[in-house]
Amino acid sequence: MRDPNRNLIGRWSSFIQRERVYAVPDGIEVEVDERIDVACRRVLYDDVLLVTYHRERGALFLILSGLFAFGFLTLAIYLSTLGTPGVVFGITFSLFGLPFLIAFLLRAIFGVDVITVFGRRSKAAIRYRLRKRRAREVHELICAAVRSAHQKLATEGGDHALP
Amino acid sequence: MATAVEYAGPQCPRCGVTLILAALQQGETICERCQGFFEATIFQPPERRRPQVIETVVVAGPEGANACANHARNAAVTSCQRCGLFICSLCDMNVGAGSFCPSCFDLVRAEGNLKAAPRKYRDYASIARLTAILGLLAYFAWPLVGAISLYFVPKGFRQRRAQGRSGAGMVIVGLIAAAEIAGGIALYGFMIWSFTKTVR
Repeated sequence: MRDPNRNLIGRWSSFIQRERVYAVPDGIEVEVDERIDVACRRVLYDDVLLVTYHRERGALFLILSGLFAFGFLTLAIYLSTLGTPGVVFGITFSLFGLPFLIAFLLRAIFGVDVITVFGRRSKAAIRYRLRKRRAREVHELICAAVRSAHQKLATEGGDHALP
Repeated sequence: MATAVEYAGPQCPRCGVTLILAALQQGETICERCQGFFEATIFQPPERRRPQVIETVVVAGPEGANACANHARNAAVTSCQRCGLFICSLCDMNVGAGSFCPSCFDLVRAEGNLKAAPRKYRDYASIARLTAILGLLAYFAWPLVGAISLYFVPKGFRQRRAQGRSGAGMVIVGLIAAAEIAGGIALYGFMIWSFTKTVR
């Protein structure tokens, strides 16, 4: 059964691993899927020292996707100049290159919004490719939750205080 | 010993250099090393108040309490469920999986046997998916990889359902695995049939 107190607030995939970030009542939970094993870690709101927000492009991603797009499209243009059979091959290669070109343009134009939450013992990063408004909302929600947790800790001595 | 995660506090989110919070300004800020902009919201978490609850043997008396194995002056409140040592509330490492002394806690945690604090688990759905997809490339081993994938499919399905996620992906993987087994059997059957035909 789905835990009603555990809400998915972000996910991110790379060649090496996939990340899922959940908001839980007392903090943020990160599940890192290393393809076979899944590692979990938490950043508790009580421990948060810094929350940052920035937009990045990712040089490596831009270079790789740009190179692949350039390579396939150059080949496609060259083949299409060789006559009718070449045009078919050219179209095929341009179809191969199109996803790389789209990925390159999307990243170059929109970038990736990153929210990083630094705790005393651990950190969590949440990335958004296109949903910028959602990124802002989540940033505000995290900051509000951290403020609330710190206020509670200051007044009550915290949930985890010894009896 | 439990392994510590390599993390040394707040860093620049762009370049990863360690930041000094006292020198950092709230709002739009710039990293001195990479010159990258980021928006910072700084917090100062209050310290947790920990009331003194450790009873000493002197107060409890020799009949009232046993001494802690690590702190001779403290009264034991429980015993370690692994090694049986008497431990005081200072040494009691209880995270919801019973009481452990600090050394046993480290050991049990390192072995991954602490059920209350799992930090890593095996993703059966990923194993099933990986074997099914990679198996497509190795036609000579289709029956084997199909069987391996099919073995992990129910486990992955149950795991996904337990996490509240859809099991539809596992159904597709199961179909691919079944197709690999069937294709492999058909392939080997055809090879045997054509071989015997040639021999005759």
